[in-house]
Amino acid sequence: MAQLPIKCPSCQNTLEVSELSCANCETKISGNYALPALMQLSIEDQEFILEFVLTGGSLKKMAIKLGKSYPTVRNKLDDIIEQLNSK
Amino acid sequence: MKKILFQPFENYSEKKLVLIGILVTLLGSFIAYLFQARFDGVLDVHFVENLELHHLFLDNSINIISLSLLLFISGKIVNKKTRLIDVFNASLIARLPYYLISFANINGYMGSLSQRLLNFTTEKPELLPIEGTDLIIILIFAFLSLILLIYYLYLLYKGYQVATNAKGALPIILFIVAILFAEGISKYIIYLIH
Repeated sequence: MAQLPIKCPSCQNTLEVSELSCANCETKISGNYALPALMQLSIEDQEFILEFVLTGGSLKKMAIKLGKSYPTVRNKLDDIIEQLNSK
Repeated sequence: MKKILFQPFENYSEKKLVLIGILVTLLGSFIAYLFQARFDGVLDVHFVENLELHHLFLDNSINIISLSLLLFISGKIVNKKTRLIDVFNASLIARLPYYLISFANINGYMGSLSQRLLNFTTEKPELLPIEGTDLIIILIFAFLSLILLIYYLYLLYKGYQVATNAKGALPIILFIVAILFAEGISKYIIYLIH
């Protein structure tokens, strides 16, 4: 599946959703909708959050699953929290 | 291989790092005993005579503990989530390559060369106690020691960076201050004990 672009290729501003469509009946909805904060993260960070939720929020389990050390995983989570707080 | 040599703190669990670190530190201390190399300070190594095995273990323990505690205090200033085990691992693992310096004193060569140089006085410069070959060996030794010292500090900073999630200039300054204090404290304690 194509990667969802979150930044404008011309000015680097955060993109908004202006059209949604139904794949079944092809109904289209137009408007201006802000992307949710999680959707504004990079795909890698979104996957990290998903894994974090799926492991029940355990950084130790995440570290084992990703083959990384505990502080590396904790730092990654802290960086994502910082990004989300700045949005 | 790149992970082991340059990013050990990112990719290995703390248990694995502690185990490898302690085993290689014991081995490094034993090698230092065989070649009479003394690590009498966080950044120091000297070739001396009549060393006993317990001196080496004690010196290295003091070095690792001083470094861990000072880096832990500095790490807590950078990031409250810093754990002692992570800075301890950084101090333990970063020193491992540094123990290789001991090999320079095979047959007591480097120790006696240093002693001859120390005994030399400028009053009679024609009696310079080293020959051309010795000079080349000293230069090679100095170069390799410098590489090992840089690698030691590189690993130490990498470990500190992972432990504290360090970013920007402040952690670098605190890291340098911590090392300088650790050097002073470790040297003082080792001097007091022996």
